[in-house]
Amino acid sequence: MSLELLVALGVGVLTACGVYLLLRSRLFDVVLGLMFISYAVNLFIFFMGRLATGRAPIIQNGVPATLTSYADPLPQALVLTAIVISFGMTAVLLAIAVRGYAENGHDHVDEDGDRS
Amino acid sequence: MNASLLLWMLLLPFAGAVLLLLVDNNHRRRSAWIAGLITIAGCVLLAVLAAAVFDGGMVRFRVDWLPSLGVAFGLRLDGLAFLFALLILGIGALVVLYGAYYLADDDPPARFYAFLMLFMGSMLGVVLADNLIVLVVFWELTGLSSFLLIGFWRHREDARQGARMALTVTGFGGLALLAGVLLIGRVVGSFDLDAVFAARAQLQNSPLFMPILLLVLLGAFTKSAQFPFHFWLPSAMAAPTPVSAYLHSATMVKAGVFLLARLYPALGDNDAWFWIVSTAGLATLLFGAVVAIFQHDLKGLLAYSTISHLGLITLLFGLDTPLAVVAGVFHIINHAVFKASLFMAAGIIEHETGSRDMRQLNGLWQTMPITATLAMVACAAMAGVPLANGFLSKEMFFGEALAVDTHRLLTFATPIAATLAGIAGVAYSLRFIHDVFFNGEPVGLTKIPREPPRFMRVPVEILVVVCLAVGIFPAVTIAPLLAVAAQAALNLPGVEKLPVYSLAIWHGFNFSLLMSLIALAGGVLLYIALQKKINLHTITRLPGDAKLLFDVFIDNLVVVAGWITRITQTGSLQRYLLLILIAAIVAGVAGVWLAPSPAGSTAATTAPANMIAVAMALIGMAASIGAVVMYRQRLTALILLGATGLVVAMTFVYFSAPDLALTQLLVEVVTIIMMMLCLKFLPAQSAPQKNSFRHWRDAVVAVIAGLGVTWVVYQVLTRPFNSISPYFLRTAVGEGGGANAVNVIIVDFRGLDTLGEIAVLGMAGLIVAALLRNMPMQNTKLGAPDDAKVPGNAHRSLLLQIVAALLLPLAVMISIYFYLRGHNLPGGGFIAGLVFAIVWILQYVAIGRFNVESRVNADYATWIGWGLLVAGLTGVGSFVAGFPFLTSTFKYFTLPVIGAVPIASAMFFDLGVYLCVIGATMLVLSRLARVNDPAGQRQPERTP
Amino acid sequence: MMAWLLKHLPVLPIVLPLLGAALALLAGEKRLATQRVIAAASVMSLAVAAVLAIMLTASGQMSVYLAGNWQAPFGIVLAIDKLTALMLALTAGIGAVVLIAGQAKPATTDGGQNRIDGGTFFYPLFLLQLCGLNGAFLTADLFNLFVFFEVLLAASYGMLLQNADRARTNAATHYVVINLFGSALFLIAVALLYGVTGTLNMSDLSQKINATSGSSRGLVMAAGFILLLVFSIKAALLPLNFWLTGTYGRALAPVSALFALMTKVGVVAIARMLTLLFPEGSAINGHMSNVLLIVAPLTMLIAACGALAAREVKVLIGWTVMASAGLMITAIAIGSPMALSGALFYMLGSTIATALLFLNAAAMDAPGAVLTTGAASKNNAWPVIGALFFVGAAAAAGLPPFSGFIGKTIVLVGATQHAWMTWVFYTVLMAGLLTIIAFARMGSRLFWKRDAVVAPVYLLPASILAAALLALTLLAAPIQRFTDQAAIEMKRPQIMTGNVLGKLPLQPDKKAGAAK
Repeated sequence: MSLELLVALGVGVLTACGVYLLLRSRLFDVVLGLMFISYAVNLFIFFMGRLATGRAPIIQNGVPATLTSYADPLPQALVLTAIVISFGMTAVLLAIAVRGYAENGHDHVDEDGDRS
Repeated sequence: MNASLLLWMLLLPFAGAVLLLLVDNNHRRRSAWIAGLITIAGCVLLAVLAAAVFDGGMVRFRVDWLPSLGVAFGLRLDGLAFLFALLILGIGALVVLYGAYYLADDDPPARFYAFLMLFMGSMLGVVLADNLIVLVVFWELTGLSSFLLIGFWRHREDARQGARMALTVTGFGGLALLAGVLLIGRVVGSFDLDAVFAARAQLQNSPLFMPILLLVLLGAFTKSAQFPFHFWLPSAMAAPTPVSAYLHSATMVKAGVFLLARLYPALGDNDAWFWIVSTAGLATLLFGAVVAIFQHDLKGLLAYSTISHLGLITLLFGLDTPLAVVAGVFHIINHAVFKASLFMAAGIIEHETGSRDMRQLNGLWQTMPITATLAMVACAAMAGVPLANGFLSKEMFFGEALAVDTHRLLTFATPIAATLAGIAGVAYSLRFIHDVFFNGEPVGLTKIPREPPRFMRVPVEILVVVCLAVGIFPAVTIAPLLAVAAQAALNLPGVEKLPVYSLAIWHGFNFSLLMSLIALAGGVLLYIALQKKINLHTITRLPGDAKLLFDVFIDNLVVVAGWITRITQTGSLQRYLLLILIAAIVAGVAGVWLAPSPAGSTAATTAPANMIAVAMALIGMAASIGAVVMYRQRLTALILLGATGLVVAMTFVYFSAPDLALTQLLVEVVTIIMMMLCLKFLPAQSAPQKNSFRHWRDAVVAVIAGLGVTWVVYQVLTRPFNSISPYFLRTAVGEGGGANAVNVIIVDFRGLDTLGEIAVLGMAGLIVAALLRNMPMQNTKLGAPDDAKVPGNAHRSLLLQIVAALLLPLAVMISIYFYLRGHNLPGGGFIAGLVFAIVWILQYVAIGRFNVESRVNADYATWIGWGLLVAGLTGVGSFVAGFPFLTSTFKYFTLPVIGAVPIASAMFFDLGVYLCVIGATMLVLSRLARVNDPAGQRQPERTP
Repeated sequence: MMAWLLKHLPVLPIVLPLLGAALALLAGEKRLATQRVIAAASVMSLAVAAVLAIMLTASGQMSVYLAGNWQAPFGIVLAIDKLTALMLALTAGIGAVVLIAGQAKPATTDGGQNRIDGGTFFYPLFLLQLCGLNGAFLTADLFNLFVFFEVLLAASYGMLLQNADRARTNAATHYVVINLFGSALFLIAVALLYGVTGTLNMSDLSQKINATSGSSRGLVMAAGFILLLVFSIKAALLPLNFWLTGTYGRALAPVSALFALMTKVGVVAIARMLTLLFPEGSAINGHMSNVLLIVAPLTMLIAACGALAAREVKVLIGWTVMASAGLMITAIAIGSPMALSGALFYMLGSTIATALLFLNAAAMDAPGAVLTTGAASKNNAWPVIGALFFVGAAAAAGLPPFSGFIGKTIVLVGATQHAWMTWVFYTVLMAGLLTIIAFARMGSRLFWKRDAVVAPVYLLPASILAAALLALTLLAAPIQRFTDQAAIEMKRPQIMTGNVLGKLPLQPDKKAGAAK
């Protein structure tokens, strides 16, 4: 199996797991789902710069500054930003979960809990 | 000169309205005076402008308004506009005077007159508009202001309903009219009346003519209460009588027929117009007349008679001959005059007797003879009795009805219908007189009837005099006005082009006279018959109440609306997310589907996966799937999540992204800590979800999404790639001053992203702090927190304290090291900040919050502030050198151990990041740590 | 000074509020007065910047700014065209009003009084909200757009959670989760576009997209549609609009007023997509327009139904926000310059009207309200509130003399040449009628059926907004001239592209020069 297919599958699995958890009814589980989704998204962005092994974008003298000799630095930078932002937002959502639990007495995502 | 006068005539009422809104409601007379003077001033202006109009000219005002729409704010005062302006202002003045006596003590006069002025201004706008868009604007304004007027007695349910109904029906018509006007604009290419008139042929030949005609007529018919849109008018009778006298004689309803007259030159004179307008008019004429007989409420009778007369006018315009148009214009004047006086008379009666019910009001002749006389004359005019103005226009109408020969069927139908309507008209006029002033004694009145105050009667007297004057000496009184008005309505170059007609009372003995006689005689007979055979008073169920239908319709509309709303707004987050997910999948699939050629892979060289990679992948997938399977055991799920995160970090390492790996690792640690802290508070298990269908559905969606993403990633990875990135690699060292391209991008090439990013992180910290501050704990099942594990509590292990103490300086060193080398090697402000934060939280665990916070400034919010400030100022710093925001400059220094360190402005920027990260992370962690720590809840925030 | 200002104009609307927020934080929570001064100063400077931007663009110029002095497409570029200038002005204006409203002291349910801005970190979050909005309007870089979306969203979470209570917390739960997922989709779309085209600058992107070979087209289209979806969530288009009424209705009144801008961000983003990223002529543009021409008018109708069914005035207003978004997107999808101009004109009016109605609604159900029958006492704000409601309602329902009517009319005129004219006419007018009925019912129930005595709250900001509405009508000529030019500019993406990609960094040897 080719490396491309492998990583593609990896991202796919993470996405599926995230989506499933995202659709749960308890906020904490939803947070878990969003974490998985953010893993998937980060890897997605990262792989958009294609696969490069052993070519960290740290410039050495004499090495031609091309994508054949270095990994694409731009997606990496974007992923860094994405990681930080999703980190912050996860914190906010967790705080909301805690506060919501304190307010409602349950941690269902909807105000009036299960209505089934 | 004249032009500006015209503008003033229009603006005065609006100015008056504003002025009146400022007047205190307690000064009753004052507001009446203001309104009166405004109206009279308007009349004077009109009189000044009269000369120009009667010379066959036209006064115009024009100023640019919506240039690219070709809409100028244009006003025109031609004959037709003059006639209507005269009615609006003249009768308006009388209504103002009348109202001053009519209003009760607890009716706020200022508000009343303000609304009245508003309405008057809007009406003037409609009739003066020289541009169809402008006309629509004022048209809608009449709707709005009449809404306020009809609902004036807002505490009364029927008033509120009547107002809403009028607004709804006429508003509906207004929107239709707007659509029609816009279509006219599309065909003609302009909204100016002259252009529209000029493009008559073009309009009537265009394929859009039918829709245009229908839409415009919809507007006209709803406004002028044509069957089947008539029902709003009777329920508008809940308005104070002065309002009814104004709206339903001279203004509101007349706006509809005005529109017919105004657009007749453009849209009239063709079969479609003839059939639609004349049938609508005919139906309304008969319907109104018949229903009017059976009303018990005085105003109800007048309302339906109004409907009938509007039908008559509409029919005249529908008959589509120049003479009929003349007759129509003539009847507009006459009806306005006698109907206004009748409403006022009815109002006087109500005012003096406290009732409008003809089953109570009888024999008022004894108590209020003068009013009675006036009312009778007006009624005569309404019935079309000779010597009253109504007679003349009715004669012309009969004449025209007879003249219909173009269409076989109507040749007979029209005259007969006209006569029948005439008969009914006489009958209800007769009932008005007989029932109110004679026919025995009053029944159960609350007041003793007497004549009204002198000045309350004046308006009626004036109007009645006009009725007679016009009726007896038409040639001297009305002829010139009628001539110019009709000329404008027919859009003729000059008066002399008008068809020949005579306003004489006596045309010799002809058919129309015969019809009049039949009508009179028949009417009398009919009324007597009705009174004898079926006593009208006993009739309780009144025919023709479309109002109920309307109410039912609206109620159902609301029900349906609520139903739709409930479907779209389930209030269930899960449904919403599912919807978004499906939409996203559809979007993705559709995108690929709609592509011109299928997105088959252009197979680039693919490397085979080695064992390490495969193993790594398998571990990751196993961990994540495990987490999903075990998700209800939150701690387990959390651990598995962490494992997955580690694999992700490994992936970054494997694919040569050390910075990402480090960051991912640290973020992972902090996130897990956060979630652990939350789990101390939240239930450790998530409640089971019975609904297994849901599980399967979600699973299916999830799998589809996963496959989709897999496919896309594979597609992209197997494609050749060229991007802007080589530029970064080339310039990182030379111009960015750093060997670590990623970090250079972060702090330099895309510094703005990073600035936003730390702003987000900072806000996250603030929000968490705000949210977890003094939370309500009563809802929670939380007992005394398990002290040992809660960071920042009493007894702790000595070992941990020692470790932490030793670790601290080392960790700080590491963090600074990361910070400094960031520009050239993996590291940088963010990573450094996280390292610092992690060690710091360890201190919390080890020696407790209070001990920690007593050692350093623990108001982390200000750390965030400093971070943002430093980063921002670094960016602004480059302004000094005259360079754009965030332009970096650098110089190398060599430090021991660390090696060459670039003192780049980017470093200061990174310092901002560093501070912001520490502040935000610590704010979050310390807050979460304190959630279920009662001491923490009590402990106030420190500020330096 | 002036030259200096103009030189750095594009970045000021981002930096000024950012620094303001930093200072407000440093002032500390206790020093509310200091924070107020800082906030006022920032907003005022924003207003100045906005005016400059309007003047600059009105003179036919476009201001392009290379952040970090890196040439496009490598660095992040900020650009002020007429559309951006308009949005900057609107943001500054609403911001100023919110600032005034923030000083209000509405009575709380527990009888006490607490200042709006007394909430936690009100001013830092408020200023960062403005920063995020401006950034989103200014940036010409797709990923940077994502970042500023996050800034304004994060700020909006904080604003929504001011004086958090049960209702707000629950509203925030839905709002945040949905938006986080939206952000994930946004990232996927952006990344995918990068993966295919290898660039992030919007102008560069649109060129590269046109150049993409057939087999990659599908991926680009998928990315485009997902992007459209993300913006549609922000613009509250059907069927992604559920988050709106709950969120807007439950926030503090000044916050709701500020949120009146939020849907507009989505609208503007969609406008940029259809005019800059996937300009007319490209296949994807056609598909998107068709989708939007189905969805947006339906949104209008459904929203109007919601308004009709609404029992709570704030909910009613929320629905009208949605309806207005529907109208604007419809106009954008029609795409004729006239329709675009109408959409912009309408946007000004509807945003102001919404803000007015939200403030007014809060003033209405201030817990201090005493229901009375019969005449109300002196210094009772009730009649004024009623009048303001009437104005706001007429404006929101698109009735003259307010700008809603004008904007709607321009849009309809712009639609007359379009194939879907009948459908657009029908839906727009129907929605208008339903809205009128809804407001008439609500208004007569609120202000006619009963009389109330309430202490005046928010009257000043609300009156300012009402005046602004009237001004829009009276000054329609110049404003429409500006929106027309803006629309024409949007229809010629090559202007933007040329300016953005053509802008050269200052003196190529800058590093050396600046290092000394």
